[in-house]
Amino acid sequence: MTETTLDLPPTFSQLKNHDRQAFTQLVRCYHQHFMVIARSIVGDGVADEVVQEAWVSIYTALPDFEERSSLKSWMYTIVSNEAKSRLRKEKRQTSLDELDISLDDCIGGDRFDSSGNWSAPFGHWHSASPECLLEEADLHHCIEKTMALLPPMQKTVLLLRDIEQQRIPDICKMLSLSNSNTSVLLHRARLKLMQVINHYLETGQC
Amino acid sequence: MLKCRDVAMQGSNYLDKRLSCRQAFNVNMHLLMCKHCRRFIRHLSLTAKVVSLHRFPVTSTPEADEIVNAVISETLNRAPRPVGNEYSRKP
Repeated sequence: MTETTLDLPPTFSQLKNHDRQAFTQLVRCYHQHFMVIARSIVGDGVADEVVQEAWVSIYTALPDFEERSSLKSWMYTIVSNEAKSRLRKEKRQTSLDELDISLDDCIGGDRFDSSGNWSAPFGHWHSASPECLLEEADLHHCIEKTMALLPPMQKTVLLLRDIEQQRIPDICKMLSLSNSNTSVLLHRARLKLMQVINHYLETGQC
Repeated sequence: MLKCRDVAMQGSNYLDKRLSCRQAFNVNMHLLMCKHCRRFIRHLSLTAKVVSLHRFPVTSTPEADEIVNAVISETLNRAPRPVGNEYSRKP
């Protein structure tokens, strides 16, 4: 079974004192998150280098971290700044082709009639809570697979908003996106997952 | 009067309370009358909660050790060299 939590989360004082074990725990916990963010900004090719550079910056700055924001918000900002700086050096821009995906593509099929009302509304879901939904191993696997395959920027916005509970204005700043673009990306990602859950509950298949 | 498609497009903004008062009012009026949209919003809310429970896999200890070794090495390489008696000539 894939490990998703740590037994002993590091403390602030350990991290500020450059305790090696504490820093290793931090890397174990956040490295995958940083890779998602970096990939969405700079692409797969140099994401590794960008994240490595970000870890160096974080390690160097940890003793001076003043706890004005949460540690993870601070780290995410460092990663996104590192990625954007790399983009600038290479004189590239983040692609936002993901915004061109239509609502119908995200919801699936032709669910609205010509007057904008439901022609094929969603059916009832028998599970009332997220925990109940995740108890079904196949569905859990479906959801994980879908999240892994989301377009990079949608995945990043979903990670930062729904998993890490970052505020939308902070996400906009980290990813250099407008408010409306961030909202669209988040909504598209959620709709995609909702469609997958719905399909599974209707057919038993991913 | 809002159409179902309009409500579907604004679903996440509605759930995250990012609509203006007037927009939220219009969505609420529509939801009072449309069970399909009520169900859509419920499903979208449940989906966001499912996502919030997702956890990315933790990086393995060997891989993390490799990263930390590289970080510490790079940090030492970049640290300014100390200037002290050991480097200065004695008169």
